[in-house]
Amino acid sequence: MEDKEKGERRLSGIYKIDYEAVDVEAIMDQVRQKAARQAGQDGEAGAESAEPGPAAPPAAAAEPLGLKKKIKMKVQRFLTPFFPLQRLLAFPVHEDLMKAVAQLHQTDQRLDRLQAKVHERNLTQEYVKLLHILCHNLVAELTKLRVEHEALKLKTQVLEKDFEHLGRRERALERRSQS
Amino acid sequence: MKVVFVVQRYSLEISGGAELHCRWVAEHMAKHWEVEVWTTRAFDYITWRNHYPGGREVINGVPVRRYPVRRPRDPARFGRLQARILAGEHKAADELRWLEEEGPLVPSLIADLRPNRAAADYFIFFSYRYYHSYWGVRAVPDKSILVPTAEHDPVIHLRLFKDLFRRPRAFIYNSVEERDMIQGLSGNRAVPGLVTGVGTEVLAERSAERFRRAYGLEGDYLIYIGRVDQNKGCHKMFDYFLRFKQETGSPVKLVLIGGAVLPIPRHPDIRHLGILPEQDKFDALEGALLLLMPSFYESLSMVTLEAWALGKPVLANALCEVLRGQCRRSRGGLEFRDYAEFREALGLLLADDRLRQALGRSGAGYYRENYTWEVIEGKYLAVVNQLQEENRCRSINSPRP
Repeated sequence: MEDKEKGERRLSGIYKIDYEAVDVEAIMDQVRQKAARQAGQDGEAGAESAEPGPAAPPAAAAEPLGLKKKIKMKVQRFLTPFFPLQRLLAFPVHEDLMKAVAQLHQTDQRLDRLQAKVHERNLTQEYVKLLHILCHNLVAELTKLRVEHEALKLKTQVLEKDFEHLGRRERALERRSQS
Repeated sequence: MKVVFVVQRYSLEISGGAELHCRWVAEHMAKHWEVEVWTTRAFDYITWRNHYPGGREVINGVPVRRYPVRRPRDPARFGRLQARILAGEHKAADELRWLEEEGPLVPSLIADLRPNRAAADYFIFFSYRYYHSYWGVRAVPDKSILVPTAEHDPVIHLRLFKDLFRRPRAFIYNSVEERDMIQGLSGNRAVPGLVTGVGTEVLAERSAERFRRAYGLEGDYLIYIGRVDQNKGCHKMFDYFLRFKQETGSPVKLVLIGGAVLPIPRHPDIRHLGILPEQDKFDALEGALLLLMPSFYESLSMVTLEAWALGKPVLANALCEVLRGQCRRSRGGLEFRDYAEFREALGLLLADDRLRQALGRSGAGYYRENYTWEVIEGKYLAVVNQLQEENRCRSINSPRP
């Protein structure tokens, strides 16, 4: 019960709510702002923890150094340029790198394949457009041919009629010349 | 006045969706009109296989005519066709084939509409996406009223539905968002429509203690009522709830009521009780702190109305426009789009008793103003009266022979 009261007191400091006339939109705005702030804080905390911390100071700096340690430090100083190589040999960092490179390579290949597909699709689209234009032109040509065909048919009919008329005239003239 | 309700399935065993909506409306409107229901013999909504005997029967005082489904749906073939249609270019004939494959294929019902058009004053069709509505509205357009029960579903963008949405005489919408979506898609603003929804009745006698004793539940709990299904956003609900518990250490439990088609995580604080009798459901809701409603697709959400009727706040999925709109209009619940918002909103609701009570009060007021049966019946009567008025004006204005 006390916990709840504490929680309510804490929330009343964060949220401004009119309990007599609840405004859901206003509450949701506050909830969203708080969620965004929280997400930002989480992200920062995550980023901080993910970053490598500062190098620790040598623990034994305050203590007097023995001969062994002095020799060890000298050797270490001498080998400092080779530390990266030693680390590489001691820890399997390269394996992770190799894995990452392999994954990147695979992703790259997939992207290439996708790009090829997109290209192919674009080509198909262009072909479809061309086919569409071709069909359109074919329809137009066929329509023209049909019109021409109709005109020729009419002309033939006219010629046939002329021919009949001339035949009749010829026969009439023949009959007249014979009489 | 005689009104025929046409719906894909109709039975006492169907406990949700447009079918239950239709049954409740038909039973309530029987007080005002001579009501009849035309439906199919199907029970299973996946295959529409004939299950009930054909012919006539009476269910809760409402006469029902059942028509046989000519061919059950082949889910695999339908799925392939739907995927193809939704994926790319297709012809109008493909959409009609999709409609036939979707079913329920009841040509005998459609064939009966035209000869009987004079016998009824209006035909009220439920669910826009099925065969009976598409062909039914075309058969009797001037006497048809469509209750689309539409959600943000990809199939609503099919061309055949644009045509359908312009044909009925009137619409009865479930929500403002549904009306806006349909008007935006089809430009059917000229077709009269009224946002109505459906009423709910809550049991007057409820006991949270009885529910706790019967199911051995202790402590605070949230409740989800409905099918445990991916389409209902339950996978997100489980994920968010478990993350919330892990991060905050909250002892709150989650009670699930309804059939499950999704595996439920094994966790001591998630209790799945299956399908419960109405009394137990209302007892459970009475004892809950709030109702979780993670669904992406809703055309109304009756269970949300039931929660508000009981004065319970709701935490709903804001990606569902209807739920978001209902929460804003009712001032009865908060919403979430992602986990960060879920955590904040649920944390706030759990910690603030006064806020829960205030949201519950607002929700209850919204329910009383809009979703009691008196209000719903009044709206149905208003739509039909408006059409009658139009008919009278037309008959006066039409030239006499």
